[in-house]
Amino acid sequence: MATRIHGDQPRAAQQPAAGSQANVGSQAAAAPPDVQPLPEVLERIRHDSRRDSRQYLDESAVPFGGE
Amino acid sequence: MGLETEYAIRYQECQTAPGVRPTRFELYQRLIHALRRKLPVVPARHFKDGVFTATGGAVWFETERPAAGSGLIEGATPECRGPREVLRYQRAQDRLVSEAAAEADAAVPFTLLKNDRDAFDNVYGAQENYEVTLASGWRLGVWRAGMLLLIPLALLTWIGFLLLTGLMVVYLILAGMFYVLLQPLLRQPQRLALALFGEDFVHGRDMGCITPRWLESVVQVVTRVLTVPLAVGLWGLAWCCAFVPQRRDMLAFLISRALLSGAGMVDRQGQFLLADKAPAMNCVLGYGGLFGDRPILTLGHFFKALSADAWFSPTEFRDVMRPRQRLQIGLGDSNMAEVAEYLRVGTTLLVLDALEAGALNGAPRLRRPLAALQTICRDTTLTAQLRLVDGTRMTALDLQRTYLDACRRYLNQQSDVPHDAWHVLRLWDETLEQLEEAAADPRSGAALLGRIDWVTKRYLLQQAGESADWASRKKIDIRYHELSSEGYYQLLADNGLTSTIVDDEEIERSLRLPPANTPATMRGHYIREFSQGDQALAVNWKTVLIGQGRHARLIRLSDYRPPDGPGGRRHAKA
Repeated sequence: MATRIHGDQPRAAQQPAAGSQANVGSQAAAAPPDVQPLPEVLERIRHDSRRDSRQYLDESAVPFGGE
Repeated sequence: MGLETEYAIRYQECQTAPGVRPTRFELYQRLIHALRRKLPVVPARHFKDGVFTATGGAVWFETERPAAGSGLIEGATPECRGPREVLRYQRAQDRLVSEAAAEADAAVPFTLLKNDRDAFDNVYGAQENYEVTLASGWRLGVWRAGMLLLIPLALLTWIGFLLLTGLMVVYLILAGMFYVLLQPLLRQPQRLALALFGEDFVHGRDMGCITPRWLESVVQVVTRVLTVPLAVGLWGLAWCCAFVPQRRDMLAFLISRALLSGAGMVDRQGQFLLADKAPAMNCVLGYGGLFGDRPILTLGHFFKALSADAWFSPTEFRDVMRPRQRLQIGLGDSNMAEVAEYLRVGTTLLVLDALEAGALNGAPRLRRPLAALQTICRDTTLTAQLRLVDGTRMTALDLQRTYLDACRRYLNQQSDVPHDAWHVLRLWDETLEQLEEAAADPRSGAALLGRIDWVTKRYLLQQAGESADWASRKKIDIRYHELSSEGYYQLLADNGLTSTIVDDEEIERSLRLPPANTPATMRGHYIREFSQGDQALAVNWKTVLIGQGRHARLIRLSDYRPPDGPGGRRHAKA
């Protein structure tokens, strides 16, 4: 066995050509109609991060950690 | 291979009873109750509280100190056969547990966080498991001989545990008699009860522990003392002969892998680091917290097999002797970005392949690996020079390129390479190129937004502004990982601002069906067939137990063979 990666796609004997199709980290082809642009999302995050931040940190504490 | 993820629980006060907080164990139980409404689930045959699902994976309650209120939800994917498959099942698991948490109990809202460190530097998070060759030749012989020599130590440890359990039973009996005698004489007998028996008994709460906090602390110390001889012996044996090629030739890869899969973190001083868990690593080989150790490679599963599992099932001891064993990596961060998670696993698989084929001879070796890890994590310019044992220096990017090139040469020499392997290689190359561009010009890092977690998180922190205080920045750090519509990564994803590797249809399928051609296939089949019936069913990673008592049937999943494999399928009876 050449590799322990058992792919879902049909096997290829050679490395694909540079211009071949590949589902590599593709962005969503069509965004839903009610999406917010990046500046609005950033503003929402900025606003939320300043609200009750200490309380959030306390609520998300994990006493003694894990494995 | 498979992934384990410890999810932190974030919860608010109970709306119907302000000031009362449910225990983490109670929340875990409510989550499992909600999970049962979504898919077939059966109890786990294990010391830990947990269940197995019809997809072959598991959900556990992970805790070190239940009486003190600690606890995490741990999810384990089924066994998978490639990076794309494990990514599907990891994303399906994330969705499953987060939906179960949302549906668990409306009066006590809680959400899960897929991260590795809280704001108080308590560390938890991700573990990766890969099947590799533990040793061969004389080293395998030494491993096996060493395991036999450890039997007396394992036996002593087990006797110690039995004695400790007996002492606790005696304590509970004496404490009960003491309480009965004193209770009529006290104005506040509840305080005595709390000190003697803990909150489970007094308040009727379920913390998953029947002892008071002070006794739990004493038991933990005694347990650690009892395990020292076996732990030291096993560690010494492993250091001599376990995973030697991996430690020698792929350690530099694992350490520099933070460039691809680091989740980013704001430390106590407000400094941004590339990785969340990596700064806590303090040894290469260890047990994962048994003695305060945070290892890159974990031996905990061997220790559990020797100190506990083998005494209930001797086949566990036989399994530990096999040349192929689980390599557990504790260094990686839990990822929100699919590209980062895919690369974390895919690149590791490729490097393991190349290593086992002898294609990594001459791999770079860091002179001081743990110090190099700290340097890499603190260097957001990606230009820090790291010293190798041969006196030369390389950056973390150089190290990754070296391994990438070795893997490419290896794949080019093979005749039967799956498409996924080329996919991983190309994405690895592309991402390193984008990281190199970003290192040269930070403004060009936009290509990595929504693809690499530390880059995305750093961008959000930069956008927070200079006036943001430490708590606000730390909230960005942590809420980035919240598995809800309010989590910051999810906000980006819901607005099409992140990259994907797998689509919704693949994830939906992975919510219902186990992977093909792995032990999970049979495990999931039995769970689906028998979980709703009259017969009792209990499952673990290696066996399925149908029925109870003398008529129970034990099926070993290691006997499973793929339909086109030699030997066909065999079932063993108890």
